[in-house]
Amino acid sequence: MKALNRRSFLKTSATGALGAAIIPEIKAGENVNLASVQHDIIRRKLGNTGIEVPVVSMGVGRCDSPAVIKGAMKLGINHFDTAYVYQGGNSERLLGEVLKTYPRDSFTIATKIKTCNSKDEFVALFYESLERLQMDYVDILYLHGVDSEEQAFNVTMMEAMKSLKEEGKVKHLGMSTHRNEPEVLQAAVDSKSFYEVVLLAINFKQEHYPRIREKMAEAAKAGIGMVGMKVMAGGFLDKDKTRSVNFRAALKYVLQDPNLHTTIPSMINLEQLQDNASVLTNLELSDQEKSDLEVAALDAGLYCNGCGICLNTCKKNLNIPDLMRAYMYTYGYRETAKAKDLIVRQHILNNPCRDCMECTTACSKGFPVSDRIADVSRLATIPNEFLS
Amino acid sequence: MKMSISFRLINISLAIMMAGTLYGQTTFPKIRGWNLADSAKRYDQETLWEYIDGAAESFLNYDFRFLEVMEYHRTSDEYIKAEIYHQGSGLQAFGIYAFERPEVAEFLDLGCEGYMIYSSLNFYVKDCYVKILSHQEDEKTLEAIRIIADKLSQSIEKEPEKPALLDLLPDYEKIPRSEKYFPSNYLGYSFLNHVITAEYLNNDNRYSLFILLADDQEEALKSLYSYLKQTKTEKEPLTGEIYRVEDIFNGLVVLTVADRYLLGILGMEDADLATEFLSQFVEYATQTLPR
Repeated sequence: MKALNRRSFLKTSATGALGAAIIPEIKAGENVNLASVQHDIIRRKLGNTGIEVPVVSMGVGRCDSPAVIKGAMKLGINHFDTAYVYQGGNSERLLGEVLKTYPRDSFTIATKIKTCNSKDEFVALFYESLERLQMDYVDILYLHGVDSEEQAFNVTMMEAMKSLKEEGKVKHLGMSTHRNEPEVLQAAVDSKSFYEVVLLAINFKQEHYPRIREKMAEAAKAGIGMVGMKVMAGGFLDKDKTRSVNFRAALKYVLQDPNLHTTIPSMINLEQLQDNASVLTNLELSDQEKSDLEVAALDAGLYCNGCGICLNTCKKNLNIPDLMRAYMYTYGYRETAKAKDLIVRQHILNNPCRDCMECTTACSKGFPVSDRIADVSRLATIPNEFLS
Repeated sequence: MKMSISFRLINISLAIMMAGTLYGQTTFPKIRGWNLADSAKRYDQETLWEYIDGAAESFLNYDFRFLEVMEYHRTSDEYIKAEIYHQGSGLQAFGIYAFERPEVAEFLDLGCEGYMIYSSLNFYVKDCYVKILSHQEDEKTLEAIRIIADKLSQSIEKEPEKPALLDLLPDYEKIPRSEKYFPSNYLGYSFLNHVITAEYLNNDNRYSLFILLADDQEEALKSLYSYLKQTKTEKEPLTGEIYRVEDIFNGLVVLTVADRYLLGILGMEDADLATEFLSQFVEYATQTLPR
């Protein structure tokens, strides 16, 4: 089964066989009626911003073709993410050139500027962005590349951003982060609505994915909009780039969490746009995608490979592999009912590790076994009707 | 015996020097009033993202090999950064340079081509894309940036030459510094790869000429076939035949295969004029293009 799954990951081109899309194909020479597609697009509210975004938006960092942006608009992908630094400014210029032919309220734009030495410098860079975009305002301005609470609360940058919002040049403020996501999410919550949106790296490879999701839940309660990037985790599962990511599964995986409002995968050609767009109308993971994710989870640190080394090392003789799978079902697929089933089969009613002073369990993958069991065993007491 | 040891030491030194050259270790110039960092930081294909985040993908698309970053400090807050992106070839270095090049800047006679905008100076030379930048914009800093750029350019290649393939685009009506190289996804299509293009101006009509550089005629025809199929232009791709395609995302595209190249014109409003221009382009190109 593993060999088969691995083979399914060895898709050298994600655009070929997967092109049998759920949505109508974009054909450059014909006027496709996409009204029905646009009607079915899954959209989510971006926190308290009042903006509704499609679950798949467009990252324009690498795109250099007007055709792809026009195609995105045609499909109903109308949120675009760029940055002052992308392509030396040509990303913003391209967006400006293409989108000037569309009504301003038919799309939303997010751009980013890195921390500067002064308020004036930050404001000047922002105005340059506006000029490139040929727009009067941007919908979201992110402070680019925030890694810590300290950076988030840089007073000078906050003053600069605030002044731009007061001038009406920015509708909403946010932060983007590539690392320390839980800390940055917490900073957004603590900012008491100063930061309304967080653009965060999120994908199946992150070992701290469960912690990110916990923080996202808190941020969602505070009305923070959340946008996912790096969803494909580099596009490959291995360093040698021989095992490519099942991109649809990767997208759907993170979007299982309703607190993630949209994603911004990079789209550089029409085929990629079409493939990504297939997720717009259907977030359900197919059996194949699930099994692909199991292999992906192996790399992500969620997947228990059932080596059995743990079986005789637990003082309580728990079936550790089953409990590790339950953990994966919970945090990987949000299949909590399935997870609970694995737990109650062992007659577990509450944390079975609570009275062990020290965990003696061996794990070839180095999982924090007792922590995971303590976490996931809480499902045992939750009524089935509340589980997914 | 002593002689032999000395000789060995010299050999080892030479080997180290050669290794430095082989692995592209650049000697960064010293500038009066500025202190160099002890050594240049180095990033490879795996670690580039740590330095430039998402922008790394674009560099990788242009066959990025490794990056050297040297910092010059005047005070603890005042610095200049010199970055040398080593790409796979001169064409790839040009490609990433042109990918980031703005239309308006102070263009400089530096390396193969360069420009300065505010306190950032970018140029390409040989297979390197060089970026020198600072947060300060005072005269002394700008002067230092220019000196570093000039010395680096000289040390990388004394007599810089642009990639020869760029000469294949005719000069007539060409907008200066509008040439670009697309290693993939030209016009948004995954099958239009390895394309050089430039923009032209005919009266007020801005248009582009492009050449897809295929390995052989069969590959050129295959690219044409894919494009005709994608645009639902139900025609058999033939060498020498001129095709007019109404591409809803890219406008009117007129194209043909000549020799082992797919040549085309887009952005021209008048289809007949576009066809005539393409014919002239083909004539020019077939005389100039390497076979």
